[in-house]
Amino acid sequence: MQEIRFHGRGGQGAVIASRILAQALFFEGRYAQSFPTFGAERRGAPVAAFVRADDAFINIRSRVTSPDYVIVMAARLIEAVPVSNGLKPGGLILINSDQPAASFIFTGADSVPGQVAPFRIITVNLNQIALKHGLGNEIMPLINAPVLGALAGVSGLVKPESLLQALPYFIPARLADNEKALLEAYEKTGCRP
Amino acid sequence: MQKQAILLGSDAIANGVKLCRPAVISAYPITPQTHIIETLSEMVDRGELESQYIKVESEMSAIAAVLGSVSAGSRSFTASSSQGLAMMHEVLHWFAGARLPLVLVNANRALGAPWNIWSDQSDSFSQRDTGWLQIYCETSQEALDTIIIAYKASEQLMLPIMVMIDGFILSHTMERLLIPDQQLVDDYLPAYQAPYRLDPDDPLTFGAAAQPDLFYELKKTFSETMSEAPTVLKNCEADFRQAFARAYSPVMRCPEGDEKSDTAIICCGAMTGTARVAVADLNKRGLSTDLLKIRLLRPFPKDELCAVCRDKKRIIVLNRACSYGVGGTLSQEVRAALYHLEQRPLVNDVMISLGGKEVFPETIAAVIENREELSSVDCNWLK
Amino acid sequence: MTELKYVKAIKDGDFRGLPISRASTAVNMTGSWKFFRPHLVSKNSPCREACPLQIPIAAYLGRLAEGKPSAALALLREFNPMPAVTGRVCPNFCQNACNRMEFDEAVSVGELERYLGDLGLEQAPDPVTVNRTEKIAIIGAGPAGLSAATFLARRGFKITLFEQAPAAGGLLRYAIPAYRLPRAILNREIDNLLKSYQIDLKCECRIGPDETSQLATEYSRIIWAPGLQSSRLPAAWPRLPLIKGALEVLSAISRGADINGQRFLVVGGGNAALDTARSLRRLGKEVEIIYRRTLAEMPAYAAEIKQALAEGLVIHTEEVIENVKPLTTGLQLFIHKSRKINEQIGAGEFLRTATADCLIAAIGQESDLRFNEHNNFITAGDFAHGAASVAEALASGRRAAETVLQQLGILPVPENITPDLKSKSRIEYKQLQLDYYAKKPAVKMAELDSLSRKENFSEIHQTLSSEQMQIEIERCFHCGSCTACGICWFFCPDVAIALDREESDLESRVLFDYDHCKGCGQCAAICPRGVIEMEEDN
Repeated sequence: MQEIRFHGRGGQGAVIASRILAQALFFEGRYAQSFPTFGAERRGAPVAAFVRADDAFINIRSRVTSPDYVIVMAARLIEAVPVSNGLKPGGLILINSDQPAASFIFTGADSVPGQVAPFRIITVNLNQIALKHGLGNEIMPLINAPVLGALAGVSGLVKPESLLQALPYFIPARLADNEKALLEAYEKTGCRP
Repeated sequence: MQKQAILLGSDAIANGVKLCRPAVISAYPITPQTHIIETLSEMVDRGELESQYIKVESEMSAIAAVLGSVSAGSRSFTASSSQGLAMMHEVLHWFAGARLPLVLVNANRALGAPWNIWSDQSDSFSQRDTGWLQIYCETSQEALDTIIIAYKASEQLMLPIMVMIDGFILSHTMERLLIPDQQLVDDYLPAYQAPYRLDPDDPLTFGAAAQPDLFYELKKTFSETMSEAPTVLKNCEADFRQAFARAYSPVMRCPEGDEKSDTAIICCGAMTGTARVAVADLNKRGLSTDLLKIRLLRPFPKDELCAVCRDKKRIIVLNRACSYGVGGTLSQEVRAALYHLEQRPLVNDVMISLGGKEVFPETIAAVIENREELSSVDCNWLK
Repeated sequence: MTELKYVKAIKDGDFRGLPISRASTAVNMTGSWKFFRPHLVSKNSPCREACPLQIPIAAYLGRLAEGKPSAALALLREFNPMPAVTGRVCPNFCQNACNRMEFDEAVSVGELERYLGDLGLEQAPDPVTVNRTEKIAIIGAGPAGLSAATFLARRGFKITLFEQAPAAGGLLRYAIPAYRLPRAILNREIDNLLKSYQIDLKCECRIGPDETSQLATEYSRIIWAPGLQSSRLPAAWPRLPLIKGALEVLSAISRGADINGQRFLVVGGGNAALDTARSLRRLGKEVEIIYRRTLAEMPAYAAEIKQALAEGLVIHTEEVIENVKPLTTGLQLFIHKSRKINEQIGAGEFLRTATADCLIAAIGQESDLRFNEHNNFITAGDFAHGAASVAEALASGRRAAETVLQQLGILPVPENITPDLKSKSRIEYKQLQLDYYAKKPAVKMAELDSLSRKENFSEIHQTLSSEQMQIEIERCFHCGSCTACGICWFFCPDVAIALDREESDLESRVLFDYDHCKGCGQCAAICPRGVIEMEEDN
């Protein structure tokens, strides 16, 4: 089973991104489960959304505490939320940022002081990609499509074709722009598993 | 034919309701149930579902509206949660007493004060004595299937049935399930033919005043019908298994549990899924535990429960509803049912969650690991 | 699957075990629970009690509110033969009693009456058939005479109306100026009455003492309603040609006669004084009024005083003309401060002298007619009761008709045409349930501005448009008068109320199903008009 945790701000699209991912995984014949932190739908408040993927029905109902992948949709959330908590060793943390990965250093309960964090950190400037395709505005770029392209690119968890197939179920407007942004993020992250 | 899909729990329920072709829907929005009736209203609006959608100003009006439509012989649907279900209370009694069939979906949620919108079974447990059947579901698939089964059983018994899902935990979670096609459901669930109904051309008196002796007689018959309800429900579940290849029963043993273990966990609702994960791990670690799911709360399936608990020494009941000053409500039901066993097992009453307090597999595992410390008299609250 | 006994029972159409029955619930009708029952009781609205004609204002405005203007007009006419006239000249006693005054301001009843009255100009009353042999003569075709004629004609009498002037109308035509009552309106309203009621009008026919005894042989009854034709003059004044009575001047103006002189002084504080002064100003004369008391004490209608002042009329108050001397041309007037002596007004200190081309007295009217008392004579109008309003004259005519009917044995004595308001109670403001009304200012008729009106006889006010009427009619509470609004129907928890909106009997429009009414009293509590009462149920 793979477990993915999205961190975002209310209104940024973390919940929708988690649903698109679950839908895409479903198209690949897998069992998937997606749910948000319940009842925290205030705009701007930190929210988390969770996805589980498996080859059999997923029984567990509690929130994801030891994810394989963490997605941080706004880099500044790292100051407020312990995003790396429980991340499995060898796991991956994907951050929407224009800064290099090396500029992010995680400390705290899950990190051994003086040691390199036991997970990969990858940054992608998703805001830039979203704005280039006219998704959202400077204050709140809409990155739920490109963030999934980037996740597919860096993890190989899901195929970009499956994501493209799932998009129309959740994106009511500017579908073509979202598709382009998704693919650009996918390509930019090097299509590496 | 059944189609694979991945849906939010509330959408799965709306699809289940749609397949049952209710002629009338009336409900009032309340978190976390709102998505169900919103989806249904959109289906009606798009013409996918031929149904009268009656907008009302309160849950009291919603249940009263369907009281009328069912009396007139129309299959109907309503849904609610928490304070909304409490507001329906008076009419819930009337509905059952009038022997009217209905399926109501309740998204379990805490009742204030203090204000809380998260999962808690106190709302529906508080309605145990209204004369409704109560069925608790573990997954969205189970909820969808149970709605179809419930309409069939309800119309055979001429009794209303409340179908429970855990608010948010099921309603707001997207998961994979099978949606049966319409023909399959139509074959299983024939159109509702009311044996009696409001009809100006054939006047009948409904629920008129009954003198004490007649009242007593009617309630005796009512109670007898209730005690036969598990049999009717089991028949409907058996027919369902034939047609849809999914099995349900009033009490279910989970395969993750160890049938031979003398210790069993009992719970109901979506928490069972997490308990499956916990129990599977416990058994792997040599802490042998069985896992039983109570699906039917009213009437309580005491024969079915006694049959699977006969050889147990310890029963640990995980509660999500409290009768304050007494303990877990589900524990009381279990204790009462097992009282007549010759070898009564120890019953540990554990309040595992209220108001959405998260239950992890580790939470459940810790209860089992420390089972010797549990009181068998008082309610065990988490430290 | 297992056959279950209760399922089988239902299929057999046998409801044993179910709370369902084929038995009638008649024995258990919820109506048997009640100790009190609601019933409809119309009440007197304060406006109706204040009206000299006792017009059921709440009821006829109810019909208008229901969108039935013809029915409203028919009901109004039952009580008031001349609504287009009274809608213009009545001081609206009703509005001063309106319950809505406590809420915001009175309903513009006069305006609404005028709206219907104007509608009636195009819809003559239903014609009547003469089916009685007795003939009735009426002397004087003023409002009292016309009213008596109308009410008697409706009972099948042939009426002959004798009028000394060239046309019918009396003071309506020869005293009230055209800017208050346009002659076209008056003519139309009178013509409608004459035609519909087949009244035989004989104009320029002066009936003196000689003629009266002759009439008595020909007519069963004679109603004497000649009005008061002459203005009184103060005893202290000399009798001079340049001193005239107000009625004489108003009549001359009405007939279009030339009025000599330029500077006029009118003495008096009633409507006649104002009408005379304002009419003369409209002919280009210089006019001032002298009144012996204060402005607040003037008996003229307040609205008229306000209009006159707006037109720039000068009113000298608390002054009297103590003496008048003729000059070669015109008059010299000796004006004194007025002085109260034992409630009487007399002359106080001398103030000034003034000159005028004509001095007009408008201090009251009298009759110079004398006639021989006769059993068959009935008097009516101002002649019988002294100067009063048009509505009071119409009411007096109705009473005279009533007397005729009683004397001829057609109407048993206790019965009469005048409604008996004593049998019903009056509805007070606090008895109304006004949650369904919002505060809203009254709609008033458009008024010509004081500059453009003061030099001509154009009618000052314009009748409400139907849109304005619609807004104003919604302000009426219809106190004590059921409008079948349906609020009781809506609130009845036992569905025990039905409405019959077409029913004209206002106490039969709400139908109570006493078999199912529990007597809860919600209907009585919620009725906006206070017409539902609870009575003990026996």
